[in-house]
Parts: sequence; C-alpha cells; structure tokens
Amino acid sequence: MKRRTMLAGAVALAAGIIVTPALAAYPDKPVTVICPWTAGGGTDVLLRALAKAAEKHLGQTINVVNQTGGAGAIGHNAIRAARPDGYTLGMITFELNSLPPQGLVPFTWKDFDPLMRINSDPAALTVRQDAPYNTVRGFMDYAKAHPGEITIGNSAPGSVWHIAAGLAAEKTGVQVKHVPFDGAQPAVTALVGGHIKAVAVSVAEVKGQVQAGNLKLLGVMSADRDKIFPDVPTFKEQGVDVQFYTWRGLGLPKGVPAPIKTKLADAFKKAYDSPEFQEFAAKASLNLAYQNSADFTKFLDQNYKDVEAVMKSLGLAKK
Amino acid sequence: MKIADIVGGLVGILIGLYAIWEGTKMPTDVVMKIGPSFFPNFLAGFLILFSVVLVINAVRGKSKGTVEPMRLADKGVQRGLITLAASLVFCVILEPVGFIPSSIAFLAFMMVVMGKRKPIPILIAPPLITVSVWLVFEKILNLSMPAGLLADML
Amino acid sequence: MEFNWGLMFSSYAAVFTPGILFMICVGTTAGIVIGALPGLTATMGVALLVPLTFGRPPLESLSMLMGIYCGAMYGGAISAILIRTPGTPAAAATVMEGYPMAKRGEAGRAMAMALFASFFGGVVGAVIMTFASPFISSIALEFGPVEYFALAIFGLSVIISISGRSLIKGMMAGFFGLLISAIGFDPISGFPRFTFGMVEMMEGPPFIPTLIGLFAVSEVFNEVQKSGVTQQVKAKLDQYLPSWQDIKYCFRELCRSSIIGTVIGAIPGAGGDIAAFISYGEAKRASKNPERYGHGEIEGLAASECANNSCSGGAMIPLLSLGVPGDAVTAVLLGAFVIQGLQPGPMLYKEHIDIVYQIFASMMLAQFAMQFIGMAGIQLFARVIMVDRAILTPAIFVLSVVGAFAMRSNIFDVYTTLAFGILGYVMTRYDYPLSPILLALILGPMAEANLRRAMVISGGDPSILVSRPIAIGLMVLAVISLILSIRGHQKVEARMAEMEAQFEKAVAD
Repeated sequence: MKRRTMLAGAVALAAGIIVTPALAAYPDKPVTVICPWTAGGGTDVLLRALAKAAEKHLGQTINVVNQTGGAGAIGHNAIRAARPDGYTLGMITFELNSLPPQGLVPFTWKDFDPLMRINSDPAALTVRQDAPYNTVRGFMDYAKAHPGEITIGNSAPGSVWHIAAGLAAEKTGVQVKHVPFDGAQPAVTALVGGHIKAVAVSVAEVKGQVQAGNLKLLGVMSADRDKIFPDVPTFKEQGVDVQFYTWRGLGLPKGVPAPIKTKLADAFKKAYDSPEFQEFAAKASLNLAYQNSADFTKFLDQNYKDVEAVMKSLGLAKK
Repeated sequence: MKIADIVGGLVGILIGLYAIWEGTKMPTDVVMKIGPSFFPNFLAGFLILFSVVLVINAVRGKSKGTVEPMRLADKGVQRGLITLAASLVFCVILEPVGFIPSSIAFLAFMMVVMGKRKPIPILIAPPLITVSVWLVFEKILNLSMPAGLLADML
Repeated sequence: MEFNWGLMFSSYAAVFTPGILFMICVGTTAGIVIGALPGLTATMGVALLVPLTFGRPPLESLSMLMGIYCGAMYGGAISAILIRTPGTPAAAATVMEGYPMAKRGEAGRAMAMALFASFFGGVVGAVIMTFASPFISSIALEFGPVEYFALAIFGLSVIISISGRSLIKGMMAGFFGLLISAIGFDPISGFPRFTFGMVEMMEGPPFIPTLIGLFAVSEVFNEVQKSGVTQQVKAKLDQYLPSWQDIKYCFRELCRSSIIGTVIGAIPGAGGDIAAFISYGEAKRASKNPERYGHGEIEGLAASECANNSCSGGAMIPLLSLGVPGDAVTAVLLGAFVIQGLQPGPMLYKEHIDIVYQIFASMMLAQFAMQFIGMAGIQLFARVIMVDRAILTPAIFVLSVVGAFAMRSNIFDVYTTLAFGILGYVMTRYDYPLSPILLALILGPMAEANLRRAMVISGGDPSILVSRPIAIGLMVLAVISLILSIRGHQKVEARMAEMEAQFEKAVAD
C-alpha cells in the first residue's frame, strides 16, 4: 500500500511540474542536444566540445544524445519533433539539405528554427604523392586522355563529397568513376594504398596523410585558400569555378519562445568564442564559420536550392 | 521434427521469393552490370536451394532430432506467452511512461510469473535493480533513458 | 625504423608513475564494466569517455583510453559466459562455448580461462605491435576492395564450423542472415532496399539490438518456459587462474589465435568480431575433438577470447604507423589523438616517437591491469548466476532493452530486439543455429560493398577479382577451409552417431 501512495504522490508531483510555466527560470534542468551522427565521429566530437564549453554560460548540464541512423534522417527528425521548450536542440548538418531531394525524408530545413552555423568545410581534391599531375587542370586533362581510368572515392552514395566530385567532373566535362566508401576514412585509406586515384573529401580528413607526404592536395573548392595549406590554390584560381562545402550548425524545433532562443544563442556563442573551443577547432582543423540565426537561415535557403539543383543534374535526386 | 522442417523450409522459400520479387523493383545498373538487386538475388537463390533440400529431406523422413510439441495446457508454454505479452507491453509503454516506472512494474510482474510469492523481495528487488541500472546509464555513462512521466522530475 | 631500447625503457618508466598507473586502472575497470553490459561495446565505451580526456595531458588520456579498449574487449566475455549475451560483438563466438560451460556449473573455470586468454592474446598483440609495427603495417595498405571481398568470403567459410548439427539448417541461417544484411541503403547506388518505407530500416537492422535479441532475449523466453524445471546452477567459484592442465590443453590455440587476431586487427576495417570467429573456426577444424564444440569446449572459448584481445594490439599498428585505424575502436581513438594535437601516422613517429613508445608501454601495462582487476572481479561477476532465476531472468530482459535503446536512443531498436528475440527462440527450438546469422551480419556488408566497389573500379570486369595475389590466396584458403570443414562435419556426425548407438545399447542392456 505504502508504495502505491508514494507512486501516486510522485505522479501528482510530476503532473504539477508539467503545468508550471518553465519560462521564468529557464534553464532549471539539464538541456539535451541531439547529435544525428555516431558517438566518436567528427560531428559528435565537435558537438561535445562545444556543449562542454557552453555549460558554464548556460548554467546547466548539457547532455549530448546520439540518435543515429537513416543517414542522419532519424536524428534530424528527432530534433524537429522535440518539445519546443528549449530543453532539446540539436546539431543539424549538410544532409538536412541533401536528404529531401532524394525523397528520403518528408521534411526540409524549413521545419527547423536555425540557431547558428558553426563550421563550413570545403571539399578538396586529393591524389597520391606520386601521381603524374599537380594541378586540378592537369588532373582533368589526364582524365580526358585516359577515359575510364580515373576513380574518385567519396564517403557514401549521395553524400556531400559524392556531390562535390560529381559537380567538379560535370563542370570540366570529364568522365570519372565515383567509388562510394563507408565513410571518408576508408576512402582515404584506399587512396593511400593505391586502390583508387583520388578522393574528394575535406582538408581535415586528409591532413595527416598530406603532412606525412603520402598524398598531395590539388585544389580546394572554396572561395579562399585553406588556412593550414595556404600553398594549395582554390579550384577557381585554377579556372574551374566550383565551390562546395559541407556545414554544421545548431537547430531548434519550431516554436521555441524568443527569450529562450536568445538565451541559448548567447550561451552557445560565448562557448564558440571561448579559448578552449577555439583551440579545439584549431587542433581538429575545422574551418569555423559562425553565422547568427538570421544569416544562417538565409544561407540554408540558398544552400538548399544549390544542392537540389546539383543533385538533379547529377541524377542523384529522386525523379 | 518432420512437419517443423517442412514448415521451416517453406518459410525459407517464401522469404527467398519475396526478396527476388522485391529485387525486380530495384533500379538496374547498366554500366557495372550488377546493381542493387544482384547480391540479394544471389542470396535468395541459395536460401531457396537449401530450403528445398530441407523440405525434400523431411518428406523422405530424414529429419534429425525431435521436438516437444507445444501444448497450451502446459504451464511452461503459458508462462512463455504471458512473458511475451508482458515484454511487448513493457516495450510499448517504455517511451510514454518512462523507464523507471515501467521497468519496476515489469520486473515485479515477472517475478510473480516466475513463481515468487513472498512480498518482501517483490517489493525490494525491482526498484533496486531499476534504479541501479538507471544510475549507471543515465548518470555515469550519460546515456539517456526515456523519462516519460517523470520527465520534469529527473 | 630502428628499435630504440633506451627509449622503450624510459617510456616504461614514464608510464610507471602512480598517476598514469591510476588512469590505466580506472580505464580498465570502466572498460570491463562497459564491455560486460549488453549493448555497450568497446567502441561506445571509448567514444563516451573521450570527452573526459579533453584538456588532460596526452599520456594520461591515452593510457586511460588504452585501458578502456583492453578492458572492454575482455568484459564482453563476462556476460557472454554468464547470461548468454555477448557484451560486445567480439564476444559472439565466446557464447558458443562459454555459456554451455556456465550451465554445467563451470562458470569459474570459463571466466578464469577467458581472462587468461584475453591477457595472453593482449600481451602477444602488444609485443607484436611494439616490435613489428612497420613490417605489419605494410600489409594493411595492400587491402583494397578485392582483398576485402576475399577476406569476407574466407570469413564466411567458417559458417560450416558454427552450424551445429544440421548443415542445411546452418546454411539456411547463414543465407537468411546475409539477406538481412542486405536490408537498407545499397552501398554503391544508395538505393534503399527492403525497408518497407521505414526510415529506421534505411541502414539495415541495427547490429547490437539484433545481437542482444537473438541471444539474450531468446534465452529469457526459454528460461521462463523452463522455470521450475531447471535446477539452479551451482557454480564452483574457486578459480582465479585457469588450471595448469587447461592452459596446456589450450596452449596451441592460444598461440595460433593471438597471431590470427593480431593480423586481422592490423587490417583496416576488420576487427575483433571477425578475428574471434575465424580463430574459433580454425580451432574447431584443428581440434582432435570437434564433436565437443558447441557443448562447452574450453579450447574454443580460449581461441575466441584470445583472438579478440590480440586484435586490439593489431588494430593499433596501422593507426600509429599509417594514421589508418585498424577497427571501429581505433577509428574513435584517431579522433582522440587529434584532439590531443597528435596526428597518428608517419609524422607521429618522426615528431613524437616518445608518445609512440609510451603508447606501447601503456598498452602492455593495460593487459596486466586487466588480468589483476579481472581476477578481483571474477568472484563478484560470477555470483550473477547464483542469483535467483526469478529475479535474474526478468532483469536480463530489462538490461537487454536498455542496452538496445542506449546505442541510438531509438525505441525502434527495442522492438528490433524483441522481434529477434522471438525469432531466436523459434529458431533454437527447431534446431536452427543462431551464430551463422551473426557471422553473416558482420561479413555480408563487407562482401557485398567490396565486390560492388571492385566492379565499379574495373568497370564491370569480373577478372579484377583474380588479379591480386593476396585476394587469390584468401580465396584458395576459403575453398580449402570449406572442404576441410565439410569433412570435419562428417567426422563429427559419425562420432555422434556412434555415441548415440552406444548410449542406446547401454539403455537397452
């Protein structure tokens, strides 16, 4: 009997707390951040570093929860469907814009309330050190002269790097074979082992092998040169006008009250600016690219249109 | 075992046929010759092959081993079905009700099903197990369990 | 690369400080517990604890992570033996012999052997890693799509060894498992297959929940049905170390499995689960008593546990010397290194050779820590099976559900576990072996993705499959292994029939 009364009491107490407006003292309990990618991966590590730095500015514990699967679809959906009380937010990534054109998810970025952009990494064309070409042009000319020989590895079918490589090939009019791997790391390994001819992944993912002298960078698909490898020219400088980036940011479910959103934005901006996060980003060679909510929204709109157009022309979008 | 083997073989054949039928709806890859349906078709073919062999063996009376028939009157079978139902209920209420209450209820119920009658262990063990599991996952490893009704307390 | 003895001694001295030893012990203990919990793998353990190392000195953090890695690889065996739940996928082969031993009341003997085999394998792996890294790492890069395809085929040839009594049912289970592994995104075109329109199915059935369902949940149903009929297991728990006879009996397999484990670990993308299955299959094939396998044969247990721990040493080899992770755990470790400002690979050898040697040293010490902490824990853990079945069985179910949910925080995974639990129960009841499904789930995606990848590279020309020596070697091995296992299976059949005849005669008399 005693247990039953206690349980009843607990339920009543819980119900009582639910009706109390949570707004006044936000945040009065731990905040959850959903990561749509596996624990230990690049996105996860970045998010955990940021969350750790944000805890003291928010004055609450921040728990990172990995809700993975469906190429990011499950985690993004969980963020979208979360209770809009400011206690659940999540990291949104490039795939939010590449999944809808493939007809794989029933939502787009418009179903989210973008909080801030954190980083944006350009694709880079990387080949083996002993390859007979040193520029993007040289690579493309070689590909034209040797049809069927060039294989470019990417991280997954329909992934950001698959699209980037497809775009570059389309712009230069060469025929290449795209080889999807299970993540960027195995693709880079296959390149080092000489099983494929090139990879189109981010600079951070090839940095170690480039510094070790196994691989060389031919060009980066960004507006400006890379900070770590300032000697590597951009694609545009080499006469191939291609820019392609992956990005990560924080997103809220629609309907979070404005004062709470402001509090979250402040806390995470302070965390972003903190020396420990900046130092982390430098070590992980992330290309930090902060944008506030309004700019991030504009960016997402444009990015979505671009990605959809590219995927359609590459035949990756659903017909 | 003879009938069980025939049924098992037929299930295998059906699964194989389903996979092949589903494969016909997949896009074909002209360049590489083998597309998304190549591997499943290959596997389904072998599954069907072995299933057919199993059925033929069974029909010819070559099945190995024996299996006790399931009778509903059997206490063990009844317990098994109750457990199945209880575990299904547990999984369904896990998210809305939350881990702590549903786990305590499930454990207490199952102890009764498995023949515990003394009230003291039934009252003590379930909360103890549940709370320690919860502490390890939620507090030490930072892996969140569904909070459900207790969402605003924890 | 010259081996530097002086540096090695000074590295051991650097690691042999109270602070670092403490971190290794903390890591190992955490690793054993995480490994023993169903659903939490070594990968997950390292990933969860990496953030704790932010802002700590490199040696301290890395030695703790090494401890977790080694501890978790052994921890998986604890739940495999005691409650038929492989705590980590790498312990899946351990279940086949460990659980029958525990049911016979030999939990103490099995646990002591699992711990010792893990220690033995770990030490061999660490020694090979220390002395042969540059040599072994050159093999790692030879592995391209064709070689991986061949390796997967070789691994799949083990299916016959783990098929139990009916070869046909084993093959059915294997092909069924391979079909399940084909669910989800096609690895090359990205087309979602057999998903029934569910987002959750787009990456196939989640591996860990499937594993927990097939083994743990199915056994829960089985136990419930038999409760009252089966006797409480009276386990003898007086062992910390395996007996001298057991060690002598298993010694050949310990040596062989630790080599197999290290080499497979060194191949990027192939980890402890594959190493354990291949070693188990090899042990059974070479055994004089193959008919004892599946009924609690200590040699099989030793082979699988030894292989999965030596694998960790092997997996560190390409990570340190090439910057290429050898398995899923080292892929996470790569991230941890980068956060410390260290880039594994040839540059690490040039710029931070001291760190490299310190990692060798802490890996070795982690093995000793694992052995001692494990010995202290045997009594504690093995008591689990003395717990009243009416409490233990439901608790295993709850733990299974929690483990399935924890990985991705998705209720879908809980239903997957339940569904595979029912499937596992039905299959066991009608004599279909479960392990082939598991092996198929591990190797199926590897076989398909790499076959297709090879075809993309060759432009659809199948001759690429026989164009490379390592791949040809592995395929030949696969064929030999298939023939030998089928003959082995016939031998087992003959002996079983003989034994049954004797038994019937004895009954008749």
